[in-house]
Amino acid sequence: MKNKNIMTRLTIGCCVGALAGILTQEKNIQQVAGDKEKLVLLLSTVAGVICGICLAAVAVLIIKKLGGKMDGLYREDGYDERQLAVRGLAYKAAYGTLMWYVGIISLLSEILDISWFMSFSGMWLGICLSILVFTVLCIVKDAYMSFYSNAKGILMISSFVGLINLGIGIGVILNRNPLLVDGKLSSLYINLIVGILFCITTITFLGKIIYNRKHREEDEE
Amino acid sequence: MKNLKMKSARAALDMSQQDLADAVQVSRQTINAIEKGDYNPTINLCRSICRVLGKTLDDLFWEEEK
Repeated sequence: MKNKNIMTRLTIGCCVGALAGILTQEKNIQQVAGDKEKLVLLLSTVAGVICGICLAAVAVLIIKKLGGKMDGLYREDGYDERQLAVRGLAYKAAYGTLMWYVGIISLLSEILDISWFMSFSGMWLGICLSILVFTVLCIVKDAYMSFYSNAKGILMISSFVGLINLGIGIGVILNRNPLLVDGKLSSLYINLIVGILFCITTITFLGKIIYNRKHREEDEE
Repeated sequence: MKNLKMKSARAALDMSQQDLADAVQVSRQTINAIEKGDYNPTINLCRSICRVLGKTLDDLFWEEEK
């Protein structure tokens, strides 16, 4: 019980500290110049990541209270042999997707001088595409959910993360931020990319659950 | 190729796919895939299934010679 209280206080403290760091970012950038600006940006990014982790921890606590189960750690005994084989193929497909993506964008940049994706957000797009390939393959082949998680937990966390990022992404669009900055995909659109990834994952997972329930009786016959 | 022997052995014990899956510690979809012939289980899983259903490997997993 004591440990839980300490963890709760630490989590709240981190959230407050991270939020304070993010909120003062703009003011700090205006006050400093040159190399220090990069340091402030770096610290702000770290604060943002810490804030994200804290938000995730709070979300997990709430979801567990609502009866959701999620396996945060990868455990081999969480999947049976067929699921492990499917996951192995899915990792291969995801790796291939990332390799093709990197190859295509580097060719586009080198030969056609199209450097839209040669940026931080361009790389994130490739990572998200490969993660999407992995998760969709696993979901379709019933190898996504481990024995230590349940559908409720997975749906809640993926829809939570998807909606938050989608909301931020839509806000960026409504603010009419340019898609391309200096000829490259703007980093402001990363949240939109991640939001779309998680929304597709949620919809696919939900669709699979409905399909399995519908065909369960047929499978038994 | 469908594994009808396994399906009928399971039905004879009045077990659902989920019951058998829980007994051998795999997912229901894996049992379904084995019965449909979409997945070939390892020898260890075959043995586990035989033990639960009270049958031998020949009874459930040996292909009949044509």
